[in-house]
Amino acid sequence: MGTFAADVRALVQKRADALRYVAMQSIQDVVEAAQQPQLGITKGAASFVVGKIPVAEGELRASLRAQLLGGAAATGAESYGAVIAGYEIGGNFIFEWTAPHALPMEHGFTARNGSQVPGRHFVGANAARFSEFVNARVAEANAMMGDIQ
Amino acid sequence: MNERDIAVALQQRLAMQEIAPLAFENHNAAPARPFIFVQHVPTVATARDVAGGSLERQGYMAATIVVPEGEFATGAMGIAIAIELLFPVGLRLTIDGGVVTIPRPVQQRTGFQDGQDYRLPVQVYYEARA
Repeated sequence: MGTFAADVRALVQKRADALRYVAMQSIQDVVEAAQQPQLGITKGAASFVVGKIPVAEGELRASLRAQLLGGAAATGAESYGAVIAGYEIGGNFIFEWTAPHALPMEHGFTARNGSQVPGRHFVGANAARFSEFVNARVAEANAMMGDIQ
Repeated sequence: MNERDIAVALQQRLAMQEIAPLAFENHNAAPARPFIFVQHVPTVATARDVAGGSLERQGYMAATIVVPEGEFATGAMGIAIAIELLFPVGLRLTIDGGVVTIPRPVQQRTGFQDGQDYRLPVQVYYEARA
């Protein structure tokens, strides 16, 4: 009986570890994808890519502010890594880009000549892929730790 | 089933109701305010079998409402409500080779000042299956 209880505890812990891994990695995947840079139009880019963050001087990318609720916030292009590392199941994050031009870059704006510039949707397009990232990480966790479904 | 047909189906439905003039990406119109700037944002394309069949596509139609500065934001919100009513959860649109479904309520995002305009982003999420 003692052995059975220990086995159940070990199984539960294994599943909890796997769930934490999937959650952490999936969240990181979203933010990492949102921070994928593309040369900005003002820097001579030849194409316009939705889902990537435009980079001219790097101010927008560096304005990422990441915080696990209840913990300290971190700011910077790579700030999300250390913040996500502190995640426990049930935790909540805030990720925000605080540069003044963050919203126009995300959703689009009116250019000086009056034409409409489409949004980059570096946040929206990648947030919408969360399920895709979760599925990939579940498959990875299954391979590493056994079936967690 | 392709993204072009999905975009056309959503945009035609939006145009049909004449909620406000529409401006489209790569179509340099400068309509009088208020207008809706429409952009198609595909996010995921998957195949449910290794032969590439049973395609599923997901994404959203970004419909940003543009009004002049100095007006109450509630005017733009009224247009957003009209868009939400036009794309209720469960709406199905038949396209060549598949069906486009609206899986969740239209999402209204944070409005912001843009020069002499105020922009209110609205996102109409879709899922399409062959």
